[in-house]
Amino acid sequence: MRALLSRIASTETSPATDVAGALRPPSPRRLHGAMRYWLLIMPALLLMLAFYLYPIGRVLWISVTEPKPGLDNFALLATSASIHKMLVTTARISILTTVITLVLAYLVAYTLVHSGERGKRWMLLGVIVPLWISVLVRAFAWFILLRREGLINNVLIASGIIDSPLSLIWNETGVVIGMVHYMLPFGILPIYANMNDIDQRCVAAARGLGATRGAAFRKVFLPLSMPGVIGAGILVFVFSLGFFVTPALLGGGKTLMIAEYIKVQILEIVRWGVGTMLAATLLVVIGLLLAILGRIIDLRKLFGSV
Amino acid sequence: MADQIGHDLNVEGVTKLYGEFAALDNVSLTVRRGEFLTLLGPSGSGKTTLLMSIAGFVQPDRGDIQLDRHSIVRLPPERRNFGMVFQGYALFPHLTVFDNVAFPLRIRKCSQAEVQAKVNAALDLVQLASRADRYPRQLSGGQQQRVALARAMVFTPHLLLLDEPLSALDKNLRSEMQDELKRLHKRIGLTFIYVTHDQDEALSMSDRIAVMRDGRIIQQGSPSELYDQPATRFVANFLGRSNFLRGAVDAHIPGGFAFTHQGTRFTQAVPGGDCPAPGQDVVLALRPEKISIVDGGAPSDNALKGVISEWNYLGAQFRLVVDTLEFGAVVIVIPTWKSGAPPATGQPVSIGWDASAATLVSDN
Amino acid sequence: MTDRKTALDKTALVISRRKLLAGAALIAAPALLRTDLALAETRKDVVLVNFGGAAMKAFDEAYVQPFAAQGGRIVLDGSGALNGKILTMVQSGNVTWDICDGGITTLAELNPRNALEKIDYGIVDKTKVPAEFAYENGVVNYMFSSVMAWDTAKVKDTPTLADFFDLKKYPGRRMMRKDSQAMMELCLIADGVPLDKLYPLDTKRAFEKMATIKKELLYWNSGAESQSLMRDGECVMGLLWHTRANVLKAETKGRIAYSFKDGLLQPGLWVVPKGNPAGAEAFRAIASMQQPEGQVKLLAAMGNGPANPAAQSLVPADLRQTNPGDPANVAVQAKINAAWYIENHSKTFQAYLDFISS
Repeated sequence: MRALLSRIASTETSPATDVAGALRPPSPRRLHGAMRYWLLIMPALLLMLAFYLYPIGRVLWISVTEPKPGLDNFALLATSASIHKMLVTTARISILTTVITLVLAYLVAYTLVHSGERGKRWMLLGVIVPLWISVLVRAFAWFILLRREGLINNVLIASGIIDSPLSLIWNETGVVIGMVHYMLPFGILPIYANMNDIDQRCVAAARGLGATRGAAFRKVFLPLSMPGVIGAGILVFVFSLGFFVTPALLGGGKTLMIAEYIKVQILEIVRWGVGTMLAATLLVVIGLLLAILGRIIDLRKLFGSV
Repeated sequence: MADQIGHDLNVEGVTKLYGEFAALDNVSLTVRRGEFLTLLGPSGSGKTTLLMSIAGFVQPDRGDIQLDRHSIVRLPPERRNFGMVFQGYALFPHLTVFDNVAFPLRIRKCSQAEVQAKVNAALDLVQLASRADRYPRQLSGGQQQRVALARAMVFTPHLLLLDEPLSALDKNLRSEMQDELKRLHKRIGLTFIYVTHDQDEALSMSDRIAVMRDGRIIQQGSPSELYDQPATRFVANFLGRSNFLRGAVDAHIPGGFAFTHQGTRFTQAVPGGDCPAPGQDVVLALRPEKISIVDGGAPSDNALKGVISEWNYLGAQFRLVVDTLEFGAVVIVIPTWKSGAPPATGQPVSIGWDASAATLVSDN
Repeated sequence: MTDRKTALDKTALVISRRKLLAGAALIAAPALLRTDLALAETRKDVVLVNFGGAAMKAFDEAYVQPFAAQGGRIVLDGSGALNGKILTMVQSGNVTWDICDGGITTLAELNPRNALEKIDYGIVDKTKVPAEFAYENGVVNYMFSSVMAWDTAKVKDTPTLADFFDLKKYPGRRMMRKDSQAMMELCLIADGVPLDKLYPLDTKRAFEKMATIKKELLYWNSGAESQSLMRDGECVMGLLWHTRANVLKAETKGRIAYSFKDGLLQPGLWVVPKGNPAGAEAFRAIASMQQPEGQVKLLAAMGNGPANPAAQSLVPADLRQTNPGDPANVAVQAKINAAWYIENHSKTFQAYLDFISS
């Protein structure tokens, strides 16, 4: 189970490492050797081209040809107030979700790593089981908890903490709660896998060398767990950008994020040019984010390879 | 470095329980200032638990630990000011060699200049000044080991605790590092407490060895004391190899006693003169190198006849197994330079040893 | 492409042969029998796409079985024929759907893109539908209304549509559909625009009306969501489909009430994607579904109002008040105008989304 988890986690963090690898220029001395490897992965590469790059190419193509050739659709990025508003909403919610998820996931992962085998098994089960619960069911569960006459408001009012119900749903608060809940396993697992690999003796060594519990955490454990946090952060943020059902259900229809915006453009009002332009933009933004991150931080170093 | 380098450490009646299991069972130990003390024992004997109790990572259930007569048993590890070298070194992978070694100094808020000076001195001491800006993973095992040492000593700790520091190294590097550690110890005069399960390491490096088993210290003493006068069968076998001779005491004789086994009579010297009572069963530990092959003449206090059942050439020595009627297989080690032609299996031999060669041990 | 063409040709051939032979039937009865068998073998499956759920069973009883009795075959697909999906099929030349359960916005978006077949009114009977809902590229299949429902536990008396926008009179949250269609109309009606003077829609005025209660508005995506928001008391009033209001009324034993008054009557439309695989067989299926008996079954099962005026007399008395197309209900409602939507839907919908998300 644990091996499986760390494998899941490691595949999830791998896109980041790949980016770092791609950014590193190939050394000319090894080009000949590299050539042979290229040949080895050629079949997989061709499949990728056919089933992945071709459709993406089509999307890009439509974005510059529909309804008429040119960059008019992309100009909307600069001129359309509607698109600005939606992009800002998407970014705000995704960033908020990512930050909150990482903080909670870090706490959970930290507890997981430091608990006994038995407790760990149960807690991991608790982390993983929600992955199998459909996003609709979760939204409904949150609806029961968060609504005006829901459990949380009823308890708070009955206990005299608040007078009038809190607006926990049908707004961005509800959306973020639902999204954080959905993203937590994706935050916890990479951080947990990374923390699991941290040599606990390093923390002990820091204390033996004079660091208090807090200092040992800040100066040793925290930096060593950063690769997991960054990996989880990338994963959660990229996932968050694409959220659709949760904002639509828990946002009371008022929270319009990019995925739903694209869906409306493509499926309902059939403005394919705008929809594909946004899809392409999303793709480019994610790519850029990873590339910038790869530049700022030596991901390989963080991920502990030589 | 500081005025007083070495410190005394007293462990008094320390017990650590994990449920029903006693990892440490009423352990007492004194480490004198400047001493190189080794805790030796098989895995599970409690030696690491004892070291961790001294370091402060394990809280004993009973007993006290004192440094220069002041109890430190309730102090957290960071306030004990002990240097520690962990098994596997526990270097910080995200910090350079320099920053690793600087870590304890920066925690103590030393000035930048002091950090610079002390780290450089420490790295010089372990001959790694040229590797200061490398990361631990870019170093060899031996180099990592030396960084760990430098880091553990740079802040002039009261004690240096070493938990199997050489176990990850290959054989040649290990003996090299053993020498280096000993030199370092001599040079800086720190009190070392060293944990190992390797008897050769313990014998060659220590001023004193405490042999542990099942959460207890069963014997302490200098390496030669332990080797020559093991108190128990376990010590005799854990430090080097031994043959064990069993018999019943016949009678007291001047300077020792006589005992009989399978009808043959042997004599055994007892230096203190505290002989077991006649009729009592005894066990004697007899080192293989203290037995010789008797070629007709040279008389020994004790003699036996047997047949060589096995022999191995070990370079400096021959190792022989002689089947005897009285004690079964007896292992003998003789220097190759002394024994002309190699012995042959099936050859009958006479073997002998002095009355003072064997040691009376307790049978556990 | 060639395959489909030959297939079409073959169908055409069969039809012409049938016409020929029909004339000869009196003379050669045994030959007719044989040809009917041949005809059954070559008739194509008609793939009909609706939005799934309860509609699967109801459509089966109301439409699939009667058509099967006539020797045809309808295959139901509940995946939902969204505009983009239909257009994708048509543009990629890989059409697998024959008849889609669409609406005015389907016409509005797909007609200009030339993605719909013209309805063959030679096969589909124009006299069996209200004239205003028989369009060139789509024909009414049932009627539905967008109506106001309210929670009688929180709203005393019978509110008017104007009360929906009166937070003083009835405080509390309201819900509207996350789609401009019908919502714009209801805003304007509430603001005093007469039922027959709605078009062209004054969207600016409609948004201004909405803005007066915006802080108390929630927007539903799916019909199920609209039901849950009302059922769970999250909203005191709501604009929703009459079918859902009807279910709510029954479920809550009348706690949720609704009225057709000042509602908007809209047609559900059959549309046929350009180059549909079953060709003209699709229109024979549509013609078959014009039979009033099936439409009344659908009314009983799902509340969909019969499109065929002849069905009105077959509707049992107790179902009449729930039938949006019942003359008494039609009289108090506005009717949607497809022409306006073809011109304005896309930009109005986008403006609506921008409005509610700002």
